[in-house]
Amino acid sequence: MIGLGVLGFGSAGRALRWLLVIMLVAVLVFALFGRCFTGLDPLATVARPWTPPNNNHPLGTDVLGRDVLARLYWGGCTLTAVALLAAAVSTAFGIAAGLWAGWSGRRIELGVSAGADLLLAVPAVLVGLVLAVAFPMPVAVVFATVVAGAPLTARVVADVSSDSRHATYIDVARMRGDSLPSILVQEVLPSHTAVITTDYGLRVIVALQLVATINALGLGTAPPQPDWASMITENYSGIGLNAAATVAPAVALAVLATVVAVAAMTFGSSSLGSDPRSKARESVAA
Amino acid sequence: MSDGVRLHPVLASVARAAALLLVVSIIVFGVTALLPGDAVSLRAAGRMTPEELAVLRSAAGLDASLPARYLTWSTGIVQGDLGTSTSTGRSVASMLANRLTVSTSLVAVSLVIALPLMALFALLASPAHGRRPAGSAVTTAVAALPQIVVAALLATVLSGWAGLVPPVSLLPRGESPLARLDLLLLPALTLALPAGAYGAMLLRGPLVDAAATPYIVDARMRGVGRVRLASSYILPVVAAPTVRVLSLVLAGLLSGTALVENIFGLSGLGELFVSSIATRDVAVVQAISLLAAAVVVIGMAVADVVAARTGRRASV
Repeated sequence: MIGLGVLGFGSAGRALRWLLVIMLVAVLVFALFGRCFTGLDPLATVARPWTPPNNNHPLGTDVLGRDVLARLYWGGCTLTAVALLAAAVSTAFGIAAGLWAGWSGRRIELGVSAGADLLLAVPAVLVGLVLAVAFPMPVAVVFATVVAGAPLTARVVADVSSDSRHATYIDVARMRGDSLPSILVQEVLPSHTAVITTDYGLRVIVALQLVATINALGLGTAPPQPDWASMITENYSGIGLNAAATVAPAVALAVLATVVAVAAMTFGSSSLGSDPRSKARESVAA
Repeated sequence: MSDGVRLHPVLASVARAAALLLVVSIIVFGVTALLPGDAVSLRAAGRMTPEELAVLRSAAGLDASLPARYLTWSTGIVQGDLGTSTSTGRSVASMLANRLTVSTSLVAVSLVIALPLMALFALLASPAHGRRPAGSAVTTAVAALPQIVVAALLATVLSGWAGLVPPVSLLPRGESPLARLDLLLLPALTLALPAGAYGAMLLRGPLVDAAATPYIVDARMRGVGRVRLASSYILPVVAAPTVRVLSLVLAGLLSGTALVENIFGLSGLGELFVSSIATRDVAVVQAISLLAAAVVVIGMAVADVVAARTGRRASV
């Protein structure tokens, strides 16, 4: 939320929003498809371990003498894809449950129920680490993200959709003879895209943090494969010889996480800003 | 709690906490049961016959059914017995006790750093004239950073460029961790920075709600001073949510030790947790998970009591 007031009005705000969109697209394209922009081999040993940056290797080499820049191009894909997927599955489950609950007039009062407490009491990171050993890493991350996130999404969606249950445009659709699923998907859902955008962004962040921790501890992506999080731990002990091998993947991960987070809050809250009962806020808080 | 019987609020929170811990213990036990292989087969590494393995397994109680194993484990915990480590043969309690000093020192120092950071971030992200300032973008961004990123960047700046602290915190044997604050600074800061931002984000909701309540708006219009407004008007309203947020922040710090202790070479609970997953030392994994859960559950119970005393809901 780079100043809601600024973003909401005026050309400066609009320019900032566009800048944010461009950054988001750029960072996602680099993370997911970075390997397409380089002909370098991320697995080949090309120089002595932890060679500092030079003309041939702009970011130097890593623990096994592999080109850090090449590994940087390759290392964001799995991590980002898994986080995006886990968040999508979680949000989809949450939307389905939330629409059902909201439409049937049930309020999911997770804020005071024992369910919310349980959700918070289970040490999610620790359970995620155990799951990462028990299952393939993507499965573990999707599972942990859904269990920890979908109930929160469901509550937010239930709140906003039960509010729109008696809206005029819903009555119109009902009288037109639209089926219930089509009313929910075509009428109710589109009016809450801002809430859902924010929520999805938050799930991506939580999933990304989990993947990063799992990979950094060596419980995820298998060793020779380049991965931003495991690059940090692999090269940490060589930080005195070639700091770039640690800093470059750290900066890449930091940019990815912060741009996604700021974009999610900005685009979500822009249409929620005037609503004093801002539901997105609660989803953060929960 | 229930509609019929009205329990004393403290009693009700204790009952609630106990029920919650019971459910969490089942979840923790169930998840750890999913780990492939067990400590016995991992240690034997193919050098034993199936018969020899079976004998060792039954000695370790690994051949019983899952519910039976849960019962043995949970009754043991209620009696204060955390079980025996399958990979070292020592009692889990003594293994944890060895590591506890390092981790509690680390978490305590982190908490001391995280609290002012939380206040600062909450101030940055607090609404001014109904608008959210750019500071909330900073808070959001910091809270979004993966822990490993914070570790790498802080180490580069504090250890690499500034040369203030060593990049790894190998504690000399037998020396109190608190006597070597220079070694704890980097890991503690790594834990505290995202935790502080996260706590501030959690607190923002209750703070915004509190600032909007009629009696606080009224007090402000009557010209009540800022300090008095914060201490006598806003604090009682946000006390319960704050305790809840604190227990969540504390739990976050505890979970964070799994990664941070591994990176910086501290041998505490977090490091033990990760190595115990690798050796399938299930009893240790379970005990540490349950400990982390207990921190949150107790914190929430305290928040409930505070909520009952201040007459506010504790929900965050």
